[in-house]
Amino acid sequence: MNVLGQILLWGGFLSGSLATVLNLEKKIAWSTIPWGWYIGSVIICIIGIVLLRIGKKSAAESSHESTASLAEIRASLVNLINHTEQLRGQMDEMAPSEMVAFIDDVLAPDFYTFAEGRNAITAEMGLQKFADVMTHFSAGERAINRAWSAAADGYVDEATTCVKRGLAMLHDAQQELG
Amino acid sequence: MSDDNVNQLLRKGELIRLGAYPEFTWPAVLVGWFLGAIIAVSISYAALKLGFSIEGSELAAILGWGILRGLMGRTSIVENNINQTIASAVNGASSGIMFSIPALFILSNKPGLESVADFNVPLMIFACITGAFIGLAFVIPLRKQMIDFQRLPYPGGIAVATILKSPGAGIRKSIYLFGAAIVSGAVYLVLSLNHVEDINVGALINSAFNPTGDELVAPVIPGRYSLIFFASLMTIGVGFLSGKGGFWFGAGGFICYWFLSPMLSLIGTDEVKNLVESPLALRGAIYKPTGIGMLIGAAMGGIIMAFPLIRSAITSMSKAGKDDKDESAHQDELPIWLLAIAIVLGAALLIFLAQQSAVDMSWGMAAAMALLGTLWIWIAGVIVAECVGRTNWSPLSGMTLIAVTILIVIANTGLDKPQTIISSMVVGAAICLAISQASDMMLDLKSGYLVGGVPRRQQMAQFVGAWLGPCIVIGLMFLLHWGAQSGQAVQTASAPPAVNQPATEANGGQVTPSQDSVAAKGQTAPPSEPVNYVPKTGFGSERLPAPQADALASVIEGIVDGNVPTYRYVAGGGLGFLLAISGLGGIGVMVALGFYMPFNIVLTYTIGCILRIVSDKTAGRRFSEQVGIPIAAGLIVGEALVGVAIAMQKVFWPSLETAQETGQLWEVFRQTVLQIF
Repeated sequence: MNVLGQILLWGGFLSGSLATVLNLEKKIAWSTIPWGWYIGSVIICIIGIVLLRIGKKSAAESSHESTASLAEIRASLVNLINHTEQLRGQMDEMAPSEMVAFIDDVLAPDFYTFAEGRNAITAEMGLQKFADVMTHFSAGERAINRAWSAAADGYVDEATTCVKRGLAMLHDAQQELG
Repeated sequence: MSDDNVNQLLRKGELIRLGAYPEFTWPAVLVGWFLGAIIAVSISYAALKLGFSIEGSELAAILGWGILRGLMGRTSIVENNINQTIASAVNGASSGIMFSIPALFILSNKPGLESVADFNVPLMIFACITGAFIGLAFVIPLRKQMIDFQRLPYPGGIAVATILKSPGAGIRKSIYLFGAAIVSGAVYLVLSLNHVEDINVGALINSAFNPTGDELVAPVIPGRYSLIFFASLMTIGVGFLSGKGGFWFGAGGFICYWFLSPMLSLIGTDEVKNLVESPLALRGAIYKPTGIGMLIGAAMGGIIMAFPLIRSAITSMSKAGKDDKDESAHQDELPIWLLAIAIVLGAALLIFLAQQSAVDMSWGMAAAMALLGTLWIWIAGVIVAECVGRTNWSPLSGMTLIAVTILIVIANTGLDKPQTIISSMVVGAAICLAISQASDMMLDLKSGYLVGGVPRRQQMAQFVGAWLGPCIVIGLMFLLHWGAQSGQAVQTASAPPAVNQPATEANGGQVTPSQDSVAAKGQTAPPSEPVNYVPKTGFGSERLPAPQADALASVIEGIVDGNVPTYRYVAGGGLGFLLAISGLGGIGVMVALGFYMPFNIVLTYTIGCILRIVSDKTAGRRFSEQVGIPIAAGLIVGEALVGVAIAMQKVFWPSLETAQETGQLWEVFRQTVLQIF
């Protein structure tokens, strides 16, 4: 169904595009587009979209793919929180440059993994929950980014504050994710 | 931090700074205004002379380091981020104004439209500032949706963030960044000096297979495939930063030139078949208006699909504003109620300005123009912010064109031609500035996200910078216009046979609807017909061609005469809408932008996308991030800096030839003072 949906979507789109660009302006401007052809293409395109959406929905219901992805991003968030807690625990003894390196080498890959898999939240839990989780996650990531900048500039107090704030935000994201 | 810890760190030889982390400070504001003014002057001039605009954020970030850290001893990445935010906000006026308002001077050379250059200057400046503020108020609530939720790449924002972070990122990344910048800048300089803009790979292949140039031998790559690459390392860098997300942008271009063009050459009419062999003219006449329609349709579909997220983002902002317990969340964003007030006040002010712009303007018509304009600012702001977020290219001129079309259709119902044009341009310039500020704001917020800037402070910084740009750029516009007229008699119009010139990149690839069929047929206009006047002095002349404004002037004439390809906008809009609701992500806007943009840029951009995909697959994502991204950012920075340097050289140190062309800035200044007193 997915393949058929894609074929109809793109077939309809290409056909509709061709109808749109087929002629230079005619004397009666609106007759420039062959509307019968165009509307036929649009209908094919709509059938393709409907098939794609049905296919997507049934795939989500019948397989455990999105659940597995959700489990993965839950795990990556747990990793991220653990590593951030590790940073918080060690940062009093860390030099600013070590803090910068820790964020780059340890936390950045965790942030990336979670962000890449974030669409699983929508598939499994809906858009509203996605927005709630991502609001906290992004605020957390931004706080860690600020900790990086502050550490790079040597402002250790600010870096410490930001790591704590980032950690709190990540905990909030975890709470939302369940 | 305790004293023991501080001592311990000091023993490690690390530089430690205690106390508040400087961010939104007076030095950042003053340096931002200063740099923004210089960059705006340079880039405005380039926009008038060459027809292109350059993003000034990279230059502001680098110069910010030099001034803030080097000269003033400042020590904060996020403070420099505020500096570049303000500077780019000032510069945001350059493209918005120089692509629109000079059209009035150009139109004033035409019989019956002489009065359109006599617009109210303070009113125009206020309209631009009002538009800028409305644009910002509309786009700020979308930050969460576009940056936090959708995580759009904003390649320009990544480049700026890479510069801002470079001192702390280690010597190796800095070497990649500045090494690539030097290579990119040097290549761009050599290409510019030799006037090389494209590399025609199709022609090279054809000449390899047919070295004697025998006309009877069929070309291996027919011209319709337009295998011409934009000679720009910056574009490759942008493609690399977009990565696989940029695929659909390339797909749009390939659909046009590698599917539709060959199909048209098979089944099209003779007129279309002739046009297919001139891809640039084909783009201006057919693909570009289709792309504009698709962009609008895709944006409408995108807004509908993303509505739950937009609502959630606004609710979250509103909640954060009320939640006094979480002080940090409260301070993250400008309060939603404040933005709502700004929009309402801005719209009211726009009604007043529209009413004042023409003697016969009724309040009802002014309200219709201002309110529809305000609505369009929101829609176009979303479109442009998303396009810049995904590809770094802004369809600003297309969106302004639609705005001016809507406004002229309204104004034309009750005003004469000159008043219709002036009032539409006053509100249209406001809209153009609004869109320009909206995309710049989102780009800066992305940089801010990556360096950990507080969005609220950046949003305030953008407002602090946005008012200054219109004052500087409109002043410069008059300075240059008077300067170009100095020593000349009052201009008279001549009528060269310009009507059958094909669309060129210099005029934005535009073939106006009225020119469309004539250009396609290669006909020459009757010699007695006053078709296209080219002024000898001022804007539109050889001294100051103002290509984008010239194109807009042609289009305005077409719209006033009722020649708008609405049918193609509607058909394109339907297709864009369908792609947007297809559930395949944000492909609608991307494919539409591929239709809209010149194919040479799409081709070069695609090289960058492919390099990123190959790099991720073969060398790994970490390599792409640690090596590829600094190099790609460097490619953007180098070309942008040399572009600005070339523009600055033309303004501040003109060569003898350029000075003669522009009327020498000192002479311009002297004349201006004489005119004022």
